[in-house]
Amino acid sequence: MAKYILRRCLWMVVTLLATAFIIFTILYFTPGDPARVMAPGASEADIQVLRHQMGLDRPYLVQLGDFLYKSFLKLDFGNSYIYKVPVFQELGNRLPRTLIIGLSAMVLNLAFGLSLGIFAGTHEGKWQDSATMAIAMVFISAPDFWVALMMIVLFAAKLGWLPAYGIGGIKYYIMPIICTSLGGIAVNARQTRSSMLEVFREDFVTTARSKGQAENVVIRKHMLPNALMPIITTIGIGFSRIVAGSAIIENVFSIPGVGLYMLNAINSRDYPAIRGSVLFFAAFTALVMLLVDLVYSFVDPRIKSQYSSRR
Amino acid sequence: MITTQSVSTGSKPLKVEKTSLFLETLQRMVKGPGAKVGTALFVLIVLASICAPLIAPYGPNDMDLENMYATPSAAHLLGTDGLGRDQLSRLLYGSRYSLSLGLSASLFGALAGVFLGSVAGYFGGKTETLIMRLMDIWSSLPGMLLCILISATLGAGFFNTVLALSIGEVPVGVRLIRGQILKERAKEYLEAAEAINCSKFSIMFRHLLPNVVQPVLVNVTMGIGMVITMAAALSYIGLGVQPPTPEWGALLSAGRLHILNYPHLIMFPGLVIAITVLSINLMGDGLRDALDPKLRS
Amino acid sequence: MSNENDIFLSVRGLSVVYTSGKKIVHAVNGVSFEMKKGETLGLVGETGAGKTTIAKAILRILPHPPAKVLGGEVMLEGKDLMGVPEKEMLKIRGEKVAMIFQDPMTALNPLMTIGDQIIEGLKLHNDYGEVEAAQKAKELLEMVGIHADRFKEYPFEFSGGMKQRVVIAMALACEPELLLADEPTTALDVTIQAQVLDLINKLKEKYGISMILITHNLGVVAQTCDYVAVIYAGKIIEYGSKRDIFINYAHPYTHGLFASLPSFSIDALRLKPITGSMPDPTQLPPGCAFHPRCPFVIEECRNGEISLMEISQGHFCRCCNIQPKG
Repeated sequence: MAKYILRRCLWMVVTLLATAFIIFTILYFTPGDPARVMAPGASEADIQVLRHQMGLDRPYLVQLGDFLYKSFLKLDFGNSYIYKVPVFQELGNRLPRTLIIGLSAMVLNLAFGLSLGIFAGTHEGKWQDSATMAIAMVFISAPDFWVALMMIVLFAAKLGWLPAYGIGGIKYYIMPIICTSLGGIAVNARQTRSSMLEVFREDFVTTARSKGQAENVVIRKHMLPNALMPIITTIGIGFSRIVAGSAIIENVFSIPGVGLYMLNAINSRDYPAIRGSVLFFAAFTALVMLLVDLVYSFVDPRIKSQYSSRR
Repeated sequence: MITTQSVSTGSKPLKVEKTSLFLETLQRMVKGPGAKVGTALFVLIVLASICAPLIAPYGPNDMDLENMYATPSAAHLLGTDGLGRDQLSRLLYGSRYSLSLGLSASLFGALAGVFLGSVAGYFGGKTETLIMRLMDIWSSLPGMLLCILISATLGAGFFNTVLALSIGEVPVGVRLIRGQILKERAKEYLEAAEAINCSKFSIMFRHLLPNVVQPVLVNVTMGIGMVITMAAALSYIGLGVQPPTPEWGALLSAGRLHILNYPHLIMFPGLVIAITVLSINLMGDGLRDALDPKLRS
Repeated sequence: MSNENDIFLSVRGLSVVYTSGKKIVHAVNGVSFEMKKGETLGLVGETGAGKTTIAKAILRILPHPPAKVLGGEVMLEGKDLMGVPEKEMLKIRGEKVAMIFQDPMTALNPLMTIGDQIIEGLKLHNDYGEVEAAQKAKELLEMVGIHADRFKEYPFEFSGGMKQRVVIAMALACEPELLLADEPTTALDVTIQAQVLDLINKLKEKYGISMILITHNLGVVAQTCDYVAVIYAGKIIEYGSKRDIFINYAHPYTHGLFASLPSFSIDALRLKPITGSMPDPTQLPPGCAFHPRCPFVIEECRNGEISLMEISQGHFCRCCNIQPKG
């Protein structure tokens, strides 16, 4: 088991290194000179001085090696071209806001998504099922940033209950969290429902009934654990989607989180900031996937045995 | 003994079965009420998009400077924007961009995914490991993020956006196809084909692929909706396709500034995206149920 | 059919349909039979004849939306199981009547240890504490030939034959009086089949269990059953003792079944199957359901209700044109 975890962590590091390499190389070969962006209209000589100061005139491999070394071993992503502040520090400041939205949305996803899915599944074919699935379908189809805009129109402009943008207190987080979670709730509800229906037809459910087990216990002890297994992956993917989609939602609500930081960095060609935030997202996704795999290996006895000492 | 005669008569029934299987699938697909609505809607939208020049009351860039920011009225059914351009016409013309972005990006991504997945699944061994590890790295960044990065690198524009969007779709297709192939590899008809000396590529494309393509079909269909939404999101944040192109996301981006005063500018483009994606998802559901062998009687 | 006092189980006019969309599948069409305590009744028929549905109907574990019991009574020691409230049925299932299912590979919950699954049944019908239940479960495992140490293992760690033994242990945990065995050996290798059948017979003797054994394998019937009912299209078309059926079979369908068995003593070029196939259960033919395939069909077979006739003591046949063997 420990060997398996170690191997996965090593692979995670390799993936991150590869991602770092790719993002660095892409930015390196993108047309546009950061020095010129930072000092528009400066003379050619001044630009050269600036480039030397920023280390932009060193050969590719040297810059790459320097970047990898600093990022991975010292967690130093350099200073933002625009704000002149260490990128790592900026990420740290903004992380809590992105995480608050992400984690709360995740909790809502689970709570509502799973219960709605179970509800629909246990009432298969009846109006509760069709109604729930129809509503879920609508929320999956509507773009989340449009729903966000419409909510701003309704709750901020027309009703004035909630602020339209920025941060400040809980009120500022309500709409972002709800908008982020809607799509996930719908997806989870549908997945849970189809998982439940598959399990319904399984033979071991009939076996449990034939032992004289009451229906609600059959659902709880036999159907749910088996139905929830495939959902673990969905949850993991959902979480990394939420964090990735934070860029758009933070843009709509002007929340100064990591997503907006990255978008602004991209628009202003702030290379260190871009690299830092991309690596952050990659690391976060990899971590979540690792956690999902670990949860699976603990929960599913078939997988657990593959990695336990028996082998 | 097999004579040429019996071989040719042998292959004929196969062909007939294939086309009627396609029709049969189509028939089954539109059985449910949701799928009926979805397919009808989607066909309607595609038709409207193709006939945009014929049915749009105005050109997409025609400016009616006396009626700027107009709310919906008889003259302008969905209102006008800051330059007096009719929203309905812009939406109709914009559908061409949004739909073609969605369809082409999905297609490219699917083709690349199917190809890589087939190679990985069929050849196995080191090739498979290499490709799957590559996919791991490829998908280490969640889809939207990857699209944002690539779009920013390549710059704005239609083809760049198609490329950016399709790149995000590839790993999913690869994983799906490879998984299916792993299941099919154990089956004997492949060994039988090898035994009569079919070339590897012939086996891959003529025998294996038709049997593994189904889940990919469903996935791609459902994915089109997501790609359309992502395309709109890209335009919204300033990447992807840019104004004056009336792509739906670009319309949302333009309307954003006046959201508090003229909400109709964002309500209609978003609604149109939602309805289009909904119709595609309903169709995809119908397709999935039609192809599900467990539901076939 | 026999002395009223000895009857343990009496099924009268059981009818079950499945609704699929607009189609109605007539799975069981008026099945009646009786059993005495300690007997083994074999329900023989092809796949789709309705055998499993009969068993599940007795236990009332048919899936409710598609399946519907149209009518009939199932008298177990004087009580009609069809009319019993669900709460009471929960006590009957597992305790008085238990079932063994066809496919051992899917009959067990993959996420629970086999020990826990046996204990579940035990604790539902007895007042055992945790330790006592575990002890009893281990005894049951030993009884079916599984080492008690494997108590904490998961289903995936067992082979098909062993899984079936676990299922048997689970079914017999509370010492039921009636065991419904639905093709218990069909999914197993021939060598394992013999072992499992032996086990079932042994336990049957030990506990004096009455058993309904569902199978399409005449060899299994010969080994284990006292009485046999041949089922076709949801109806019993021949019923009798093992001797009646194997030696003096009368119905043309039964003829066909035995004729299709390959014989080691005769050199034959081809097998002799029964021509045609079972009728579509949504569109059963009028009259005798077998008449389209019957080589001895006469005019009376095509219309009207054909009733079960007693052709000798305890031997019944549902046919207008009985062909006694020999």
